[in-house]
Amino acid sequence: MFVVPYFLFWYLMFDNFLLLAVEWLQSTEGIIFVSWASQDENLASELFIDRSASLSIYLLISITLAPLFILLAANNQYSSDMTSGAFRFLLMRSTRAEIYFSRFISVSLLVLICIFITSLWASAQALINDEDTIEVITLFGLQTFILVFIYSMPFIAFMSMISSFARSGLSSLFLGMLSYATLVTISFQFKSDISQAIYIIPSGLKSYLIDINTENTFILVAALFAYTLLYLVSGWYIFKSRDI
Amino acid sequence: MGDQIKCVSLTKRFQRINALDGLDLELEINQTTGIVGPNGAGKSTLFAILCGFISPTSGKVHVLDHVPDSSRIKGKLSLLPQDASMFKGVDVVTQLKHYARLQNFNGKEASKEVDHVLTLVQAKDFAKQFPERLSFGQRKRIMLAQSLIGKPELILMDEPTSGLDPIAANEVRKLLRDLGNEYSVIISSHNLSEIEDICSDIAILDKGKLVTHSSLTELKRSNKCFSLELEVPSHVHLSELLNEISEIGQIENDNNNMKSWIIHYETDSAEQLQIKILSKLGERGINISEFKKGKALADEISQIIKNNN
Repeated sequence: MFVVPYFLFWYLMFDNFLLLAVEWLQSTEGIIFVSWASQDENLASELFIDRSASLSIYLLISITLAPLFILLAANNQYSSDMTSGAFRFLLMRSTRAEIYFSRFISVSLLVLICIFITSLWASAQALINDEDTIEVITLFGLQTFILVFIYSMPFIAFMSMISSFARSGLSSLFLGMLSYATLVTISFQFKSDISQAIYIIPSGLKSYLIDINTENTFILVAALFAYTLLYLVSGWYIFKSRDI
Repeated sequence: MGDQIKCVSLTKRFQRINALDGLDLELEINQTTGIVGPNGAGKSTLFAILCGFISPTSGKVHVLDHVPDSSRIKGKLSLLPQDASMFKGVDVVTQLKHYARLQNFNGKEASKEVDHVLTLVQAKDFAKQFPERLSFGQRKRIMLAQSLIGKPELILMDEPTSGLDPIAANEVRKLLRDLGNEYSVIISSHNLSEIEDICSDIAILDKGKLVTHSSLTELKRSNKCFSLELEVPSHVHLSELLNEISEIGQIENDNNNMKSWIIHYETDSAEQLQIKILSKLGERGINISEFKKGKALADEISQIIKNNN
């Protein structure tokens, strides 16, 4: 449900659209468009002129689509195995905590591997398309990979929480989408009155991720870790008390 | 070693229904115990609590001297569930090896142990398939195999033969009888002849409460009656014939088929009375195909539950 659509999407992106997007975003129209979209002229030029444009596009798309791909990757961590009773065989030999956290870790590893492969792929594309040196691209590629993965973690934990009480993989996916859409709506609805409202979901930190700045990195990582912990612990309390 | 299982005022409520209602139960090691009772008596709920699948609403429960879901009993307690499915898309042997690894077997030992339990339940031929491709009977054998991995101290079996055809059920029953010598087993079943056949100890549950708990022999002995299967010629009135024996009380024709009879008595020397009855029937040339002390277990249990209500 995740691996095939994920790689198919990136194959289509790298094969058909990336070069076109790089050329367009490096043009004056592209810079004007991104400046308008991000409301930050410097950011647009930093992303597409100063840095590798291919990797910047990869970073932007990855961060934008992370919630969707993670919903697909992590929707069925516990639901269907709990309903079918398959966990009963595991529970006779391991604790609930072991089952809960090992599933979270295994989904995280799967996501990590997939992001690593596409980051490597994006770096290779950057070497072909962009004029930066191999050192610069490698460093930015690594930075991109780490950022995308760290940004994905809270969504994996969010789906751990949803999957802990859903009855099937599909219902977990649906509930995940519904909950996320609700939170996004709330954050947009209230952000004009309460500026902090955008931080009810990790997506509120998106702008900090794109604007890579060493001053913000520590706070960013700490905030994403806090989201991950919050969702993961909430999910654990649900999982701990749920009938298997 | 202390009690295997100890439940004190154990209650489990599902919305408005009390699946277990203040259950007090103590079961000990080294015997095969049967847990019986009508539908909704709380048998499967009790198993689910003992295994840590669900939490009790109130009361205390200890399994192998620990609370359920304690890491200390992992691998020591196992379950043959009534209706759980194994993981789909992973062949049976791989899953069983994984379970063995979780019970601290190393790679080689795990393979050996899986091979051993599959041989025990005669399931080696189909163990390389995915669980979803197996028949119900084959899946049951595989689940039985997983419950034997690592020779657990206690095995809980929920309806071990339900849904099996008579031949397969007989084979599993035979296997359970053999396992009873090696393992401590608690069986929950509706099939009373199975319980009678395999278990030495019996606990009867009804409406989430313990009705009685005793050895099977004691349970049968407590009821002063004989069950007889015989052919009575039409001209002979069994009641009139046996009423000549003073210790005999009521005589019931079970099922109204004139073949199955229950003879109640009021004496402590049942053996002597048995001889008197046999000689009386012999004098009239009545053929006896079965003569046993006590009622059939099913009648006994229905009577106990009826009296309890």
